Amino acid sequence: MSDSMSASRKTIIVVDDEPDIVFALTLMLGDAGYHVVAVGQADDLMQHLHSAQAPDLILLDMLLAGRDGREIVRDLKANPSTSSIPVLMISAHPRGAQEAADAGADGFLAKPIELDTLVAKVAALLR
Amino acid sequence: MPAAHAAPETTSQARSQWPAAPEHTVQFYADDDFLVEQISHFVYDGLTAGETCIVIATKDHRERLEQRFAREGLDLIATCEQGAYIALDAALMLARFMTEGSLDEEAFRRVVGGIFAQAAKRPASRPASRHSKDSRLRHVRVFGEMVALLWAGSDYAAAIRLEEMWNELRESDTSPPFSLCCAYPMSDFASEAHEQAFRVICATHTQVIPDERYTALADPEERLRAITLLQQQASSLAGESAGRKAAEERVRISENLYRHLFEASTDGILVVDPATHAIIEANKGVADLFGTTSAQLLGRNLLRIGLFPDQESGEAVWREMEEQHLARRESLEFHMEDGQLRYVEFVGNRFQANSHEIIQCHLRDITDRKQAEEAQRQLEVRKDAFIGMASHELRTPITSLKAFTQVLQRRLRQQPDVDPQVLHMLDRMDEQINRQTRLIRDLLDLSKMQAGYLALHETWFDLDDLVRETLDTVQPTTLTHTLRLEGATQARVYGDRERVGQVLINLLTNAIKYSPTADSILVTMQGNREWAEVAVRDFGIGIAPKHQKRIFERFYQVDDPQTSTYPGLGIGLHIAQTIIERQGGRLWVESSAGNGSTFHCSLSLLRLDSLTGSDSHRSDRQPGSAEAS
Repeated sequence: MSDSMSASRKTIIVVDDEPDIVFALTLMLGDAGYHVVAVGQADDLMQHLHSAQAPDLILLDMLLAGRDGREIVRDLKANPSTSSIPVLMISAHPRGAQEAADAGADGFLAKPIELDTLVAKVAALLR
Repeated sequence: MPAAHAAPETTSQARSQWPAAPEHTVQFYADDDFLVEQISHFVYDGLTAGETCIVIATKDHRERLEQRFAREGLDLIATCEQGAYIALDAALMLARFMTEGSLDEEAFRRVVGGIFAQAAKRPASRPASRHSKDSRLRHVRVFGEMVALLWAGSDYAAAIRLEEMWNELRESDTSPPFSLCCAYPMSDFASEAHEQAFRVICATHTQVIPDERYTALADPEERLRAITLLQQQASSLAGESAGRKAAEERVRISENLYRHLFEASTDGILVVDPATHAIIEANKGVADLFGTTSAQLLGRNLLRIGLFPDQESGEAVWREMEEQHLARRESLEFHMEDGQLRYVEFVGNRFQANSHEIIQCHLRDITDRKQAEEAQRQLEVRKDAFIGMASHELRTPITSLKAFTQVLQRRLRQQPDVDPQVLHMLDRMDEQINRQTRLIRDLLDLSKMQAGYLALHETWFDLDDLVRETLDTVQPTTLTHTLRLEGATQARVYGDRERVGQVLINLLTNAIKYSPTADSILVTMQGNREWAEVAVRDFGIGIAPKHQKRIFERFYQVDDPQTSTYPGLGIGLHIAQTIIERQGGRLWVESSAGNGSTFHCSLSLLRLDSLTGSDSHRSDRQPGSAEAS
């Protein structure tokens, strides 16, 4: 685990309205060497995308309080400034993979999340 | 009439019908030739007796009578000149005392009485008839067809009245004595309705002579036979008539019954004219449905009473009724007069009724059923939402637990001098979390199966790959058993890969669980062109035959005092079998107590719905999202 903000570190935005899950994911990805921005709701994600540099990847929960993650993916993919950012969806939905693919997400992970699988998927999407 | 009178018997037969006394005779006849023959005798007898004969007949009958006399050599011109034979047209005579369609009695007496008085005053060449009221007057003999003309024109009352007027004239002192013969064709009395009038006609005459079918019979025995036959025919006709009346009564009762059923039916019934689309009958049921009255529906166009959503769909129904004689609509939606929404099931038939084409439409009110269905649908949407939410709520804490456990495992493993027991405890926590995850998944699967919408995501996949992957996943979870793999199917299967994997995991974990003293599990694969089969064999306690079918039942627990009891929800095999059967496969067990068990999972390679080659997503129903994140 390194605290250095090297230019090579990739930035991942984690979006989930469950604080413990956001915290756990931040730890998992941080341990794997990524710079993680934790976001609790859809509005915060949009605000971040407008104000900061585009992230390298978005880890997005499918059902957020207030807004459906699938809608967010559709909006991101429809917008030329965000359409190239890979989106990895996470969900407890057993058919989540299909739902995520239909919405236009680049990858999917079922909850509960296996750490090894998470790290492998993220790495693959960032390549 | 020389020829006619040549045979004495015939003469006596013929003459016997014409009485010597002044009579009012009626002659019925079937055939015109017979009538002409009879009248020729009647007139000839009169001429022979020195009487004046008057024939008031149709042109046809007069001409044929004259031809008949000519054939017999009678000099009719001379007879006329002597005033002994007077021929008059029946229709013209009738017109002389008919005013605006009714008989003028005064005119009758004047016209007819005047002619008769003249005829009677003819100078006598022979002594006058002994029946004469005045010996200076000649007896007059009349054949008249005016009553028959009235009868043929269906003016029955006038015909009867004229017969009475003839009788009044015969009895009056002002008229010379005369004998009168009327004739009616029997065919004019063919109807049952004429029975009463026929009796009156007979009653107005002093003598009635049947038609030739009776009078032509010379032998009294033959006449008796004829009478007997007629009686038989009469009673047979009476029976027939009674039967017809009974049938008519049955028809009337049946019509009343139909009318009652039509009116009392709670189903709406409309009868429609196929030519105009106009409603010609509407019962109370249909009026109630529309919130109006039957009268207000009559005459309206079926296609424009708001029953069909638009003109086009109404015309489609109409075409079906015309071409296929039947149109059916499971559910039609329309608004009552007061705007209330109603649903009806519609059945329209076109058929023949009493040689008329009609269209009959039945409308059954299904509003209550539709509302119940809608309530049920809403309930299912809520149930669906509940399952989704339950899945989310149950998995969220597990997700956090799992994530933290894994972070801890990783971080601690990277540190030196970590207590191995701490690492072991974390491993156990991780495994228990996985177990909890599976239990939650099973419970949710069961809920979905019960609700009828376990979704399948079907694709083509390599079965051997899936089996190897599954073994690789399950092997690390056991320290006691070695999972051995034999054979191969080399099959590409069309099905839900993830769900088939779930079934294999279930079979493998069961095999490990129920063979605690064994050290291996044998997985064999085999297949042909139609089937691919994976068998999971354990070397454990086995399953007694009585339990073998029941272990696939929901919540079934093997409870046997002879063997150890294993806890569980009793739903894993039920879910596994449902998943396999939903994909057209089979899941069954072969076992004997003490000798282990083999679970066979067989998948069909011949799937018709897979011929398109595309992936499909299906479920028993199509509600919204069954689960959420």
